[in-house]
Amino acid sequence: MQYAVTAIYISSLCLCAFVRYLVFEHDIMRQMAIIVNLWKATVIQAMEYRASFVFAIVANFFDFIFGLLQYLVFFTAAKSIAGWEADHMLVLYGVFMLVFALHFILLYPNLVAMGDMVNSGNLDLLLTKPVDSQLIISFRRISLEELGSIGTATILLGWLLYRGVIVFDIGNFLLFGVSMVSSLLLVYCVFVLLICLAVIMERLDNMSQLLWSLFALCRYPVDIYPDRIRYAFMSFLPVAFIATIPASALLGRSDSATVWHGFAMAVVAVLFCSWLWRRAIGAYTSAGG
Amino acid sequence: MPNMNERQQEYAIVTRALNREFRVRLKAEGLAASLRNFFAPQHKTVNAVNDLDMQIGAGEIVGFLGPNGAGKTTTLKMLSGLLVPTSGSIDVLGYTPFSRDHAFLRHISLVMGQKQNLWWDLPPVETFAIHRRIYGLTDQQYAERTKELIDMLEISDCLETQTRKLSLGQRMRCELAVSLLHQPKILFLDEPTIGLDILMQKKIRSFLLDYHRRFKPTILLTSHYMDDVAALAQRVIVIDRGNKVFDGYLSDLTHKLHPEKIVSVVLNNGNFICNPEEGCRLIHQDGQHYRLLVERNRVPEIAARLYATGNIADLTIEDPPLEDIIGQLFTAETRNS
Repeated sequence: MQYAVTAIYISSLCLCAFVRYLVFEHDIMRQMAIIVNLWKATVIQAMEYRASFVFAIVANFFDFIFGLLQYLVFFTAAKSIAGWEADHMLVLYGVFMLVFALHFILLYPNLVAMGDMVNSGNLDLLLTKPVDSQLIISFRRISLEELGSIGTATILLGWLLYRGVIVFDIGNFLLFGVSMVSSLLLVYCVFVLLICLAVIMERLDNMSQLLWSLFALCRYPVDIYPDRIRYAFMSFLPVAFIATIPASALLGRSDSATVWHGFAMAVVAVLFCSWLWRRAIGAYTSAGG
Repeated sequence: MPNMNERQQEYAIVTRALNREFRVRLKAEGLAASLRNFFAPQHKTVNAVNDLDMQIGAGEIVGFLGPNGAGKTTTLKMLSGLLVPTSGSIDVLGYTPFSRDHAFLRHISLVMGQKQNLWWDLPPVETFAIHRRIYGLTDQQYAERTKELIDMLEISDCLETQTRKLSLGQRMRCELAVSLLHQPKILFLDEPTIGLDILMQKKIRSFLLDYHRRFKPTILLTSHYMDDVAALAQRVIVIDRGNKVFDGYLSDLTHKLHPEKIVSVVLNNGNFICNPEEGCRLIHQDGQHYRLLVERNRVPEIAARLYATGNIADLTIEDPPLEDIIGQLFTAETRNS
């Protein structure tokens, strides 16, 4: 309990400092307005290729369904895996798909574009604009193809709530909210690490592959792994906090200390990534010339 | 705006002993060398810019010349805050560029002929709207400036066409319009006319002159087309292998490196005898058409002699092509001397 209170206190202090930094020093409202304009442009651009746009949404919907079937196949042979029953696994899948789809919508197109921007030197033009380069590079494009997955994941979680697998409990829902924020922040930090590497190393192909490998690990509960690997996934390689902990929080299986521990880790990781980005841009050598 | 002392009011750009080194990976030819290099990479340090001192006054247009790899673009990138210098100091409008202060970035614009701000799949007008938001322009500012730039660049017919469907010339003009929406005080132009046909090059030059006359930005221009430089810049800074080799008026450079003029004359009939002792040398003859290289101070005398024959169909006097003059700067002989 004492640990949880300390974690909440430190996290809140860090978060306040970070919010103050964003609002007062980074003119965050103007940056958000720029991002909204960029998103509008991306959506207009996506609409230019209507058939491809519609096909991608349909393909992602089927991808969701096939993923679901994969889980159900496991439970034809076993009643539970490492303490996770079929219904619990569906909660995990729903949460995982929410995080994955949000990553796909907000971060993935920017990760793909980043390699090209560094290689072609077009990053130069962006860096000479009066904008928060980290924020704009992270969120300048969106891909709406995974919107369907968000809808289906939400329906799945709603159905599980209706069936009583997820119990309506304010405390659990609050912890779930906090752990989802931590999860998204941690995924964002991995993304920032990758784009920093691309800037420093001048070229880094298949960056998205690395992020997808991380997601492959998050698809299953960390309880299925041996103790040492599980410890790694709870500490320096925060795989557990991406999907397992939020799903556990929703199922009332997670204690608040673990959730706040994850939140503190996420806040520290965000601050570290912000510092790392500034270092990476300082070391940028630009293509050509 | 930070404190601006008198020197900064006088000069828009000041650099002192500016250096930029790059660590370049070496690689010999072949698979074995690649394998060796993979496990034990070798590097060398290249000085792209070497102790560069320069001062550029507010509102000046300066041509920045040099062969490929001379350090022109590297200097532009340091001045615009993209690259951090290895040593030395830079002061642009009172700011240190590489700290990337937003107030500084609002006052500059970097136009690169081979890179583009425009969104490829969208009409330029969409990119205009994004830039309006980036630079926080009011409705009135946006309306006035877009109208003015559209008129000056004659791009009203291509604003709503997807960028990918525009010609190179149309794209470049839209690119310039986007880059100038916020009326920068300093404009860095890196090869703005590259790949354009002669007519379009002329249009861009004439636009830049007109824009400069109206808004007086400081312009630093690099271009391999000497016509760009001759049309836009009175002053040039020439760098070679990272070192400044000339800083002054273009006319001084011409006089210094090429103390002769070219006299082209077409005679109706007869011959013209050109005597080297009189400072005149025949460089080409095609029938009655003579091309002579004449010392500058002897030009009036030679021209008078030609007119005195009463036998001239046509006569022109011109400076040698700027390409030749600049090329001469980078010949091995000149470098050694």
